[in-house]
Amino acid sequence: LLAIRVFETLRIVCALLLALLLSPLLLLSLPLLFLWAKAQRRAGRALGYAVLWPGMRRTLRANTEAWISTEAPGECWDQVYASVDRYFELTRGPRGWMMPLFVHVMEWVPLLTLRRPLSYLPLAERRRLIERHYLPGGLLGPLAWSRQIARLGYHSIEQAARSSGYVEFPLRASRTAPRKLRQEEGGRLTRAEEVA
Amino acid sequence: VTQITRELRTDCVVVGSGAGGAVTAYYAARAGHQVTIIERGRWVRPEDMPPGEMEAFATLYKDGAAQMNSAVTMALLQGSCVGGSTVLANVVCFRLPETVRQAYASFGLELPRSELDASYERVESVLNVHETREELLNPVAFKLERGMRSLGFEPKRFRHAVQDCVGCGECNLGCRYGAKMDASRTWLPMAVERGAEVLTQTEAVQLEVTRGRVTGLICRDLSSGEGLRVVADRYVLSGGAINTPEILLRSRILPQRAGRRMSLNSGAMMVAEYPEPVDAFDGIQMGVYLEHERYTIEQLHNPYLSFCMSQPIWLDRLRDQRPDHYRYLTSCGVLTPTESVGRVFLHPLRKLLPSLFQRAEIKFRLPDTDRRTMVDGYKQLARIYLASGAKHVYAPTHHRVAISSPDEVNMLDEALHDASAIAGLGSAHPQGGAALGDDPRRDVVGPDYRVYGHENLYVMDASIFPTSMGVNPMLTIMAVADYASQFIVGERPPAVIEEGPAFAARQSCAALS
Repeated sequence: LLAIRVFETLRIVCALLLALLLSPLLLLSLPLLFLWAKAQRRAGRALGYAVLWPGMRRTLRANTEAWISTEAPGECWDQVYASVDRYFELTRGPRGWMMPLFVHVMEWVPLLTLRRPLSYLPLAERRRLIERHYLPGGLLGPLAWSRQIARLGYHSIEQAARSSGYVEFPLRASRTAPRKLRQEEGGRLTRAEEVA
Repeated sequence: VTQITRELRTDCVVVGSGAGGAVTAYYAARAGHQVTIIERGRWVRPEDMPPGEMEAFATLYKDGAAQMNSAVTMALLQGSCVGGSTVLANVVCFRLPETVRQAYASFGLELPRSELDASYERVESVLNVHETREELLNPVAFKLERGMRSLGFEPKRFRHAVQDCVGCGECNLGCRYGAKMDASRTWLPMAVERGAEVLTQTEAVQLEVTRGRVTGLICRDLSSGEGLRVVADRYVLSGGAINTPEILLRSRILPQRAGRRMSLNSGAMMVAEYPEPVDAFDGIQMGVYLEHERYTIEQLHNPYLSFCMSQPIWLDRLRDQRPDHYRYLTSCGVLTPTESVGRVFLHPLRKLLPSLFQRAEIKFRLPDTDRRTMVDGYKQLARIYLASGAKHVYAPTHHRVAISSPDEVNMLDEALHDASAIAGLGSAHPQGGAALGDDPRRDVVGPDYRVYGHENLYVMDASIFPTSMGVNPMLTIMAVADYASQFIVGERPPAVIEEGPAFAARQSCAALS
């Protein structure tokens, strides 16, 4: 375990030195990056996303597979992306804008360990990265929050909830919709009434 | 806020509409004051509650339920809507333990037993607090009761502040059936009926102070981005244990003391798997609990997404083996009062990078004594789970630890050897940060609920508690606000509140129309 830690720390040190050497080049490419970001944003809007960029979908999928399961919700990946997009869109407060930024960080942070970007890493390598670096107290510990994004997207789709055995309240056999709701006439529909 | 475009004049401004703010606002309005309540979130009626868990996280919780401590190791959940955290709480009601009341008195927070009891009576009558009906309990509650009794413990059933509860098991997402007697359904409408106004989607930023007197409150209208100055005779901070110190620090009021001595009721969920489907989601989330001198074991089964997000990630992967695993699982927590070692502070780089560090930072690391207490609680909980028929008990750890017999319970000592080894550690009950006491050199708020050195600035929320109370705090915050109204508003509360449960019942029916 100690050898792994030393090895991984050396990788980070080497990556930082490399980044320092390449920093002038990175600075020069900033205008290009800006144009690329603008194009990505436009492309995301064209796909119907409020916040996500097309490239972020690969990151979200890679992240979800690494944290949770390779048993993807089948053809529901689009719903996973839509859920995350909706969450980012609805989240208020000054930290709301940080969440999409965090997805970019998730994608590029493996470079710090001399690995490829997250969505280009094989599954086994992604899991190794998580197990070795995304630990509380570690340098990349805060990246462990990426598991919450994975779960938020994966488990908020209806198919995942249903297949787990969860039954929404109005559909449960053991309980009936509240009497008051059923007796109520007019007004806005509640979920219980819709189901009834 | 760069430009003030509006100015508002009122008698009393209350910042925050949660448990403390709502009660204070009611009594101020009742005393004939013109009251303005400042609230960052929206007023969400039961029928407008978000349709799903994810939407509820994003719209009702502060920072989309992603508020963490600086080290990103603990989640700190707070509400961000009218009614504050009470809208998202399980509204389980505990009175302040006598030992804690005495400890508070030693700091200078005097809460005379008889007067506090009278306050509890009044608050409980408004909230319709009663022991939960048996048919609302989820199936695991009965198993846990049997397990506790077989080990010689006496389980208790929670008292809830509900009316016509349907047992949907989604209390933490806001009550879409209008059954929860939170602040937005009781004290706030009662205050509004007496003339108070609520400014929603308005964030209190900073107080203006001149020679020991607050002369204005600068707010930001979050829908338009415009600045607003509220001028009042008295100012009451009730934004909770993180927001209140944050406003004090931004206003440079007692910066050496504000934000310090923050404590939590902390814990993480411990999951058990039963050999047969138990459908723990079918009933109220919190049914039974077990009191211990140093901690409380509380049944708390979250709705699907919240459950998945609070369990250890390796447990999530078990789904590959049995897709419907959720039906077999349940969770409980060990609510542990922590030492007052936390701190709310403003980041030194906030002026350089304001959009990055606009919010206050929270520094908290679980002390080792509290970790040991927590581990004792988990060991007890594991024994209870196994006695109740559970096949496996899964430790809240980052790597898989499953306990299948009472002999293996001591594995938890090793598995949870350090605070960083506890997965899913968090709190929904931050306290302290503007502690009340009789020492002006140590405390922020004086025994008259006034901030030291500021004649018209009061604090009434969980931030005044000098230590963690160790039980769910909603009822006690409301009761202390009831008691404190004689200092803040200048009038003693009446023996009986006329609106009481009848008002809540009327609200409950109105919400359904």
